[in-house]
Formats: sequence, structure tokens, C-alpha cells
Amino acid sequence: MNADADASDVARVLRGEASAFERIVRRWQGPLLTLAFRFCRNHHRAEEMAQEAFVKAYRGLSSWSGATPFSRWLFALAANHYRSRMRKLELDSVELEEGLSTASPTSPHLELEEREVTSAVHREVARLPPKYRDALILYYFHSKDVSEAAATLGVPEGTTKAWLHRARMMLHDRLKNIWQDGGGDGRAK
Amino acid sequence: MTGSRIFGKMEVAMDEQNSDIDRILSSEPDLAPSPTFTASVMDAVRIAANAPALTFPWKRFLLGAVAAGLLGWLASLGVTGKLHWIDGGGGHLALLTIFLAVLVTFASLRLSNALSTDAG
Repeated sequence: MNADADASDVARVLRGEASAFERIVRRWQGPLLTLAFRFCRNHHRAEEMAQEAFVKAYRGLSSWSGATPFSRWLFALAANHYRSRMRKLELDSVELEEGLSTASPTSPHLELEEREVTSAVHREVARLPPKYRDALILYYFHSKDVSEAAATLGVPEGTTKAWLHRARMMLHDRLKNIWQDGGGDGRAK
Repeated sequence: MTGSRIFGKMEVAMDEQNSDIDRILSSEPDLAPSPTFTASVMDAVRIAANAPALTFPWKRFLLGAVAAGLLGWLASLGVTGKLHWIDGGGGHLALLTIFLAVLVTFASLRLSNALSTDAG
């Protein structure tokens, strides 16, 4: 069980056994890296940001009370760090990598359209005002769980829902032209 | 076409678009770290563990305390009227106070910049 393993490893690290932290890193590096990538959309920068988040977590490990799941504490810390890093990055200097899509288009033409639309969606998400962008990223990162997204953001669920609604409205407005021009597979023309 | 029918069509288009956005954002796969990632994190953690703990910034605190004390002393002299010899009856005291405030602000900004550069 992850929760027991986390608690045991944290206790070991706090007793001075720094190597126990490696198990925590191995357990959580995938999710932290994935979350970092969804913020910055650059693999290299995502690894940098995730590494910094782990160092922050190591330094602040004693502040985890054990009352909430370790993962929730770690995600909140990492998301906070990523949001602060994103504030420092000029949006125009952020190089967006192609998202990895699991969709399976049926023809090269559709594949191209799908990639264009996917890339437009990610680009517009990145251009949303930070609080709406963060809410949207965390909502999908937590498999559409509003309460988990709210806990990671450190705001009430109602606020998160309002931000998500606003984010969707803004995305809809900004992507309207792409859909009207026939992007995607034509379903939403 | 009636207004309600146009609105109905718009709503349908918006729902379809939202479901496309939802599909794209939901279908992002998890990322795998590079083979050296764990080692690199642990190296950074070891460096952090061996770094000396942050100490209270006594140097900055003392400089700030001295500057605040000096300003307080000057202000008290101004309030009790002991600075008449500078004033000279021509409002020079007000000018001197403004000049000192600007000077102290500038100096404290330069100092904090220098100290933060040293610390970084």
C-alpha cells in the first residue's frame, strides 16, 4: 500500500536515512513529471521542475503532518512550485511540445487535423489566465476529480468549479475559429 | 430560423466542442522519466541535505535596526524642535527630511539587492 510505504519512508528520512527518499522519488516521479509537463509542455523543463519539487519536498518533509495523504501534500507542494515557475517564464518563450495523444485517427488526413486541434487546445490552455489554467490542468491530472483538484490548489471546491467553468468558456471562445475552419475530425463544425 | 432554434444549434455546437476539449485533455498519457532522472534527483537531494541550514540574517537585521534607529532619532529631534538650527526658518528641515528619506530608500534598495546577490 502506497500510503503505508510513504509514511514509513518519510519517518526513515526524518530519522536521517536520506536514501529512503529514493523510494519516495521512484514511487512518485511519474506523476510529478506528468504534472510538470502539463504545466510547461516541455519534457526537459518538466524534469527540471519535478527535480526541484522533489528537493523542496525533501526539505519540507517534516511539515507533512500525516493527517492528509502524503500524495495530496506532495501534489500541492509540486503544483505550487510549478505555478510559481510558470509565473517566471515568459509565455512567448515557452516552447510547446506536441502532446502525446492516445487517440487513433483513421487516416493520415484525419491524423493531421487531430494533431492540429490537439496542439491548438494545449496552446490555448497554456494561454489561459493562470488560475483557470491551473484548475483545468489539475482537474484532468486528477482524472476529473474536483475535490482532489481543489485540495491541490488549496481553494474550496466551489471556487474550483467556478474556475473550471470559466476556463471552459474561455477555451470555447478561443477555439471557436479553429473548429469553424474545419479542424478536428469535423464532428463539431 | 427562430431565435430559440439558433440558440439550440449554438448550444449543441458548444457541447460537442466541449466534449472534444474534454476528450483531448483526458487522453494525455502519463510521462515516463528519463533513465537518469532518479539519480539526478537524489544527487540534488544529497547536495540539499549537506548544505548548511539557513541562518537568521543578523547582518541585514542589524543594518536595518541601525537605519531605523537613526531615522527614529532624527524624527524625534524634529518633533521636539531641536533641529531649528538646520531649519533656519526657511523650510529647509522639510527638504532635508525628504532628501534623507529618498537617500535611505535608495541605500536600502541597493543594500538588499547586494545582499540577495551575495546570498544567491
